[in-house]
Amino acid sequence: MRPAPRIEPAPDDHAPQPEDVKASRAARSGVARSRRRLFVGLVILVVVLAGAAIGAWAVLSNPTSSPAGSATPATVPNRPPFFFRIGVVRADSTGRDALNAARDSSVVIAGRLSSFYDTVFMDPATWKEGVPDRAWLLFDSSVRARARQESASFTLGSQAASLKSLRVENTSLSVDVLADPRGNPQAAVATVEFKAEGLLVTGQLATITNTASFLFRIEGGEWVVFGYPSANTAIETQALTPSAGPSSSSGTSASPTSASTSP
Amino acid sequence: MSRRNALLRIGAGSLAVIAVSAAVLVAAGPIGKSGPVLAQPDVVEIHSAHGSSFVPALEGKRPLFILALGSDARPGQNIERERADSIHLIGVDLQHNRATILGFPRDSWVPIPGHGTTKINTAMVLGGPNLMVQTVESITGIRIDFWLLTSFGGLIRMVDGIGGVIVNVPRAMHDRFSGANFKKGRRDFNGSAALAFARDRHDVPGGDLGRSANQGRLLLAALSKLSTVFGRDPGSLLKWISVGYRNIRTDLSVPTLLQLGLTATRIPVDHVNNLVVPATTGTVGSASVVFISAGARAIFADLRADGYAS
Repeated sequence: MRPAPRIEPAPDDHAPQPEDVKASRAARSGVARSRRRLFVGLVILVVVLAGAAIGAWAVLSNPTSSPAGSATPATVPNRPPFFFRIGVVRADSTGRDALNAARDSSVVIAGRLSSFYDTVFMDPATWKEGVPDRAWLLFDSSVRARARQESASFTLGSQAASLKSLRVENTSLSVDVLADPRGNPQAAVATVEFKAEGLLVTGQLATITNTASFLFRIEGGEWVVFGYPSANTAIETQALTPSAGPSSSSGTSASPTSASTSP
Repeated sequence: MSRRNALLRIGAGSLAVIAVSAAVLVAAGPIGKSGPVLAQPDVVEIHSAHGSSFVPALEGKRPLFILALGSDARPGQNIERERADSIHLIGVDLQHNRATILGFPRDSWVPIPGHGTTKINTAMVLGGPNLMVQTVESITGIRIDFWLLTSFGGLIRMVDGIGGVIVNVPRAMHDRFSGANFKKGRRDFNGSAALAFARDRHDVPGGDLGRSANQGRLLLAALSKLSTVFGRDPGSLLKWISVGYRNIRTDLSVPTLLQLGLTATRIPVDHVNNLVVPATTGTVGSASVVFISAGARAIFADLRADGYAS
């Protein structure tokens, strides 16, 4: 006859236990919990530190995510949109003080220009498929066809298709706003400088410089461009060759060969 | 406790490995990059450079005509109801980006619609800028599109507001009445100097006619400066318009003035003819007057055709 199996009480069993056994079990249980917590804590710490290290590497190796804010990684999925920071705003009043109107107008104009530059320069979809029609809505209908004809002055032109990645180096935007005697904005001139560096599929570095001035007026409640006294886009390419080492050149640190992916 | 120490050692070891790895990664650059980490450009090539410009100007086959007036109103007087001592008809050939400044001597003895024949500058006293427009239209047969009127103070403020102008003074001027005291040559004028230059008629050849030509020179100097500053900073045009608008009376709206300003930037200074209506001096009763010569008709006809009189 087999003995009946011994049934061990569960830890939460309220069956009476001798005091020393209870104390011993409690101590073992406490140590186990403590070790588990320690282990879990270490794992979390390791994961956090690993993430931080990878993040630091990404930041340092890819300046497109610099804290400057205007630099935007073009090829990272869900990239933040490019946005101009507004520099100087000048109110040119023909009557009442129009500084507030000028500030408000400059914000709207900066938004419109930012959207345009984001689309035509920074959006990988544009590199692949060309400048979308909607981008040209920045221009008034009276000048839109002309601007499209001269698109190479505003965009990457034929170089877009060979672009692999792009990051903004520096930008500036100043806005002059002309107001009527009542202080209502009538026209504005926005002056833009935009510089970006990219990598072509050929492995060449490309430096893209765009400078432009845009004449704005309000049509149908929207600020639109009705002229451009100047619009220039220059693209310089540089062949990359291996160097002897870091000390061989002082100007080699700007490399857009980041971890970004091609479109 | 030995197991706990082991765990701690493992954790610390892992951290060390990760920290070292991170440091190596940071130093080495992106993962997967082959070859030397740093590269230097050895060939620079301008791959493409495109530039374009479009300044929307007034367009049309018909020339544009503007009457620019200077009132001799003193402080406190209504500038629209005092004599117009500076009278210039500006014709703009929009198709060829050229223009003409045609000055009328203030003492020109002309018929004024509804008021008989008298000195041209009286027209503004009698009927304001609108009668000045009608008078010049009746003399020339040219339809005037807009008028602009400024005063002594307005001229000073405008010139100062745009940072002065550089005027080519054709000959030395020393006139105690106007305060003009200039050597011949290129002179940098502030507002007060510009006014003195524009008012002096006592020691300039031809008196009133010579003064009218000098006023045209002042307009040319302003146009020259506008071209220069607009080329450097297109936004400066808006400043010019705001300064101008605050110191003139006009039937122009701000947007139209902007269009005119943009149009002006497209006209090279050497495409502008500065003329004075040919005339002879004489007297009517006790008054010194100027009689517009018959030859002026040819200039009016030339100007009327395309806005440019050669």
